[in-house]
Formats: sequence, C-alpha cells, structure tokens
Amino acid sequence: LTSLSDGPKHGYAIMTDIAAFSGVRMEPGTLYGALSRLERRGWVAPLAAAERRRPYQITAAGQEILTEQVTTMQQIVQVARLRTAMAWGA
Amino acid sequence: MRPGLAARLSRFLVRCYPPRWRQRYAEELLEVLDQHQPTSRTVLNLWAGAVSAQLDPAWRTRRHPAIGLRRRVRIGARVFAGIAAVLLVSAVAVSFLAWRDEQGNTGPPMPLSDGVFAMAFSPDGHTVAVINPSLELWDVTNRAHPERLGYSEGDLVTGTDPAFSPDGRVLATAGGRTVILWNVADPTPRPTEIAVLPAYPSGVNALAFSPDGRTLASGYDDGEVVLWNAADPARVTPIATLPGHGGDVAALSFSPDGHLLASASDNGTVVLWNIADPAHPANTATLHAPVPPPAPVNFCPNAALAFSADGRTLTTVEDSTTVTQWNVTGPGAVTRLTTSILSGIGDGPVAFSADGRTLAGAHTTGDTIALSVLP
Repeated sequence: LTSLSDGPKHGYAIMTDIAAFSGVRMEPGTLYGALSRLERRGWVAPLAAAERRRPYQITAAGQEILTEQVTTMQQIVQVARLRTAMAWGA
Repeated sequence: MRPGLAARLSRFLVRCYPPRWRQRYAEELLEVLDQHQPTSRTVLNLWAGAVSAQLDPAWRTRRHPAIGLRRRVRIGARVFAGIAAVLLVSAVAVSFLAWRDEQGNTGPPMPLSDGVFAMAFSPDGHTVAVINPSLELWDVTNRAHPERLGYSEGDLVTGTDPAFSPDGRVLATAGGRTVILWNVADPTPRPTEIAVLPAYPSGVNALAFSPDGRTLASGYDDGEVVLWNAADPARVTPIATLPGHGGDVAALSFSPDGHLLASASDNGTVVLWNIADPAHPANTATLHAPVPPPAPVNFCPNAALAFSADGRTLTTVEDSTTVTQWNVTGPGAVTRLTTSILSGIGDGPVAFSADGRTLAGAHTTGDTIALSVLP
C-alpha cells in the first residue's frame, strides 16, 4: 500500500520500489499473494493492462487503512524510543 | 541453484496455482519473473504461494464450470421504475450492471466485483444481491458509484438467482442442493446466515417468496418444486412437494394473492398450481408453449413468468421472444389469450417488472438492452 500511495504501479515496479525504500527484496510469489489479498479486500484496484503489465492503484478504502496503520506504527515507534531511552539511554 | 533451472522451475510453479488464480494473475506474474532474476528463494516462495492459493477457498475451482458461460449475460430479476438492469460478465470475468430506462437512456455501466454469475434486486430496487461465488450486497442507489455493503465469508456453489423476501430483510440463496436463508436487513460488514434448509436430491434452480413472505418455493433440476413455511425464517419447515414436470424448473412466480404458483421449465411447459391450501397443492393446469422452444442459446435459460397485478393474467416467455398471455381467472379453465413474437427484445435472458407489464430483454452479446411494454 505504501508503494502505491504516490501513484499506480505495475508488479515489477512495486518490487523495485519496495527494495529501494525499505531494502526488502520481495519475491514475485509474495508480491502476488499480497496483491490478490489486497484486491479482494478492496484496498487496491487493478487498472487496464498495458501489454502484459497491469498497474494497480490504491483505493479510498486502502488509503484509509494505510493511514490507520501508519498512525499505529508511529505510536509503537514512539513508545519504543521512549522505553529504550529510559532503559539504556539509546 | 543454476539461474536457468530456477527460471524454469519458477515458470513451472506458476502453473501450480489454482486455475482461477492463474486466469487473473498468471500473465502479469510471468512478466515480473521475466524481469526478475529467479533464485532458489524465488522458487521456494512461489511454491509456498501456490500452496496457499490452492488452500484458499476463494480460488477453489467451481464445481460447475458451465455456470460462468451460462450466466454470461443476466437480466436483473427486476425492472424497477422502468429501468432495466442487465448484468454483463465479460470474458475476463469482470462484471458490471448496464442500464436502460423506458426513454432509452443508458448510463455508464456500474462496475461490480469480478465473476458474478447470479443476481437479484431488492423489492425497493436499491440493493442488488450478487453471487460471485460469495454472496455480496451492493447499494446501487447511486448509479454512478455502486457501493458494496457486505459479503459472506464462504462461497456458494450455485448459478441460481437469489430471492428477496417482500420486506427485503431476508434473502434466499441456493447452495448446491440446499437453500440458505440470510439476514440482509443490515448486511454490513456481513450478511448473516439464518438457516440452511434440508438438501434435496438435485440442485436448486429457482427460488421465489410468496407476496406475504410466509411461503418460499424452491424449484429443482429434476423438475420438483418444494413449498416451505418461511413465516419464521429461523424455523423453516417443508409443507409440500409438487411433483416434477419433466424438465428442470427455470422460473417460479406466485400470483399477487398468493393462491397460485406457476413454475416454468426449460422444456417449454408451465405448470399452474393452486396453493390456496399450501399443504394440499392441486395441479390446476399444464400449459404448453405454442411454439416449442429451441435449444437454449448459449446455455441461457430464457424462460420468464409474471402474473398481472390483478392476478387475472399470466404471461409466459419461453424463448426470449415468444410471449403468451393466459387467462387464469377460473381454476381448471386456463385459456390462451394471445401469443406474440416480440421483435428486438434480444436472444438472451428476459425479466418482468413487478407489475408484469414491462419485459426487459438483452442480447447474449450484452451490447443491447431492450424494454417492451406488453399490451
């Protein structure tokens, strides 16, 4: 969802994008497993395929979920920072 | 692992995904694999993906592969306020509703979820229930932006159109040889199952509620019709079994007073039952199509039935275009009034408006919707 948040991308572009911003090298099987689940939940939507590549875009429901997830993660990060700082002054 | 071997194994593993999954994603995945340098990790990962997709009920192959073809074009079970809705399922299984009103206006098709093969309109025309193969409910009040209200967890193995109760709160769907009743009063996020009725030896092919909602009729592949007491949807009991009429039951319709039940078969016969006392149904008449129906085109069952609002006339359609009106006022004295051939109504499925006066038809190609007001 994060990868699609700045605009529609096709499968391989999502993989390279995720590798670039997170360092995680995603395998095609994982990617398409995730895409099919996201699509079924209505969080991403397929666009018309250009030759054999089909771009995906995030839906309004997907944006909502992503925002929610980012907020939750931010809270976790904050708590982790505070606690680690208190415990060992990191 | 040698890169060449990994690439070959990866391509082989794509074929191990379920057919429905492959139909949708295989081409894109192969394209991604072409750009990617497959390693043993890729192979292992694809193997795990294929296993998990195989275990996922959403991708399980339907037991009736003909269903998709058979329901290529569906007319909405309701022509509401002069608007006909046709469900179109394209070759890539993307479904949308196309519209046409009496003035000939059409709007942009409303996209629904993929692979729909049965549908019904709620009595108020605001909700569409589709089977794809889970049960989904869509709010279609805003024709530009249909909204999915909710969907069932599991899949239904059926291509039979569901039926709403007259108050729109209960939905009957077929599930193979059983009938399932759903609470759809508030289908968000999920319609809830109220009851699963006992299974019969053959598949459920048609469903209808009586106008008072107290009786449910289910028609089967073997030609039998079962009447159920559905006054309390949580405790439905069978009332009577009406013997078959030689071909599978394609359509069922109750008269407005609920005293008559008409069942149409794909073989061109319509049987009229007096069910004033549902426990003792009486065969009133067996009507034969004046023109023997041709073999169904594209496997579309093209039969439809409707009583007039005053209950005096029954209109039957046997083959999309041959429309016959019958006088059903006196039991035992059913007479044929007219038979007309409608031109331009299409060769696909047909549906009546609630008052039985407007007939909507479509071409099996799905590119034309026609409306015809009956005399």
